[in-house]
Amino acid sequence: MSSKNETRRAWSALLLGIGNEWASDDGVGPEVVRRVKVWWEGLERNATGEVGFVIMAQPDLALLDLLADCDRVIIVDAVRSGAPPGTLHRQAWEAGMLGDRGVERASSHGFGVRELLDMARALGKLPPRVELWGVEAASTAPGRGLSPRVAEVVESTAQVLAEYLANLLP
Amino acid sequence: MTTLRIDVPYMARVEGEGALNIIVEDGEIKHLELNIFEPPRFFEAFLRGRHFMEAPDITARICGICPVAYQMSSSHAIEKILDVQISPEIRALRRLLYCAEWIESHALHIYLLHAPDFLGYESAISMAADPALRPAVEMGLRMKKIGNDLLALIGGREIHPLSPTVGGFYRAPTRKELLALKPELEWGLEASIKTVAWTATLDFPDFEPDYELVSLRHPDEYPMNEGRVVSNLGLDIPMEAFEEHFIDDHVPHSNAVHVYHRDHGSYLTGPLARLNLNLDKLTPLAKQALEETGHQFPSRNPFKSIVARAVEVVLAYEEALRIIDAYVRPEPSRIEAEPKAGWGCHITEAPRGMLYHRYELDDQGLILSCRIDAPTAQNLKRMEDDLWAFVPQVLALPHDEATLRCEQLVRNYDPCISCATHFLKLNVVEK
Repeated sequence: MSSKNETRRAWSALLLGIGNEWASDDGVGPEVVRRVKVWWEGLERNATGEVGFVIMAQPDLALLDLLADCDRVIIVDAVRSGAPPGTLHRQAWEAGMLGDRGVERASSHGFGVRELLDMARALGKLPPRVELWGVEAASTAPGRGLSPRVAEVVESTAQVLAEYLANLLP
Repeated sequence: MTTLRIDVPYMARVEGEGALNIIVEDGEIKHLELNIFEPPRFFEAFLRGRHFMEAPDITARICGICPVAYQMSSSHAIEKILDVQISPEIRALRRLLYCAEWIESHALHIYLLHAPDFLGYESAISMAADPALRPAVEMGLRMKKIGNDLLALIGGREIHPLSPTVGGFYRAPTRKELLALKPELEWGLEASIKTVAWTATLDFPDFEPDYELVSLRHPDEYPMNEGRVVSNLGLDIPMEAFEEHFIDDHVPHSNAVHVYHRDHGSYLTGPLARLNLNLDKLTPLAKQALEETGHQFPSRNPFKSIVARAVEVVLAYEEALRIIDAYVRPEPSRIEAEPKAGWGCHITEAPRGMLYHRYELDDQGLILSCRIDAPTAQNLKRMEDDLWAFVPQVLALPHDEATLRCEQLVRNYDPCISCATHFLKLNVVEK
């Protein structure tokens, strides 16, 4: 990772796949990001290192430094909003938009996406663009493996994200 | 009749699940229960039948903040059964690993969990949003990160490290790798000394109940991995006698056991107890930093645990630098252990207090039984007793303030609360 003192940030885009892969559909974020990473690494252009990939069970304070080092972060996570399972929600993040349990996680720990972004904002470490890509979960019960409805959309979601990245970084 | 009711059926943002219920009628506490009941996890049960080499990795999963403590207590206990003698080099590397965990755990608690209570902020996030306090939060985060980096270097990763095991480490870092961290550790040492001075300026409620403080004590050093179990009431026993003196109690309102001292009831373990009982073992800069605070130690004011924690961060940085300067890479990095039947126990000092592990192995090296007493289970009864003594003091305060003080009292113990500061809600019921 490059130093924060450099004018150029390390990544044009940082893809953050958040979720516990042992909590059924909570693992959708990591799975989508993993597939986009495979696609990206297959491209000839990937040597430029424009895109960073991070997969985590839940946000960690260590991410603050990574956020300060990219122009854009795309957070892929399982969400619960009442929409049909598998629905893709794409939103630009705004302060206050995530509720206490806006992104439902299996863990009892409280440092989630909302806290990560609020803390990054308070510390002036938020990248210029923050995007949330949420995949509606059917279940976050303990156990490995996505539910059928969510598993069905993993590949298409990864493709949408890949195309989006391709257009973003001409 | 006026009833004051603090009733939180599910405390968010603690590691595990819990509730706080306090009912005060006409100025008298009628009911007080603090449950930090972890979800049923059955670690002691599913360790049965497992090979001893699995114990450090499995028990590390009990805690994401102090996995090193679980790896250390389990490894030492099993080494005692198998007559494994670790080398001085492995011993030093274990102490360095523990320094890393104390640094990251304590820095997190001081700046992100505890300080907002003292300064009147809802959370570390709102504290960071205040330009006057943002540098403090940034300093705390950097101090924590240095601990994490050291932990990742030695352990292979910062949470649930891979390298520590029975007999030593699967891989020991090179001297060059460790020396590369020195500039940051030196910065951290300076920052930790400033942190002690900063915590000393906080406003501490006047509250000094009488209770027993229990920690390890080692003849030559501030306790981490080794020592005897001592207390301010004259207890001085080998670790092997722990279960004779400290009793696991199952109380109806809690899934977590309450551990109490057979002779004296509730007791405190953790930074304040360690500091009070080991003042003469402080490293030079930690000792100086404490003296310059002007606060009198020993102190039984649980709110001053934040000062004790800060002093221990200085000590951990100081020790880390000393160990790195003298570092000789262990060869081999791990002493091979042969299966053998037997019984063994060990206590190490986790960031938040004594962590007791006891194992019984069969001749194949499979675990027949085990007992684990986590620091929070040991402190739980003390927290309740503290609340009994403290609640009358806050009754005259507005309800929000009273609740905040109760929360702060609980957080004095660093009961594995995650990165948020408010986990209680106050409901007032007029009857």
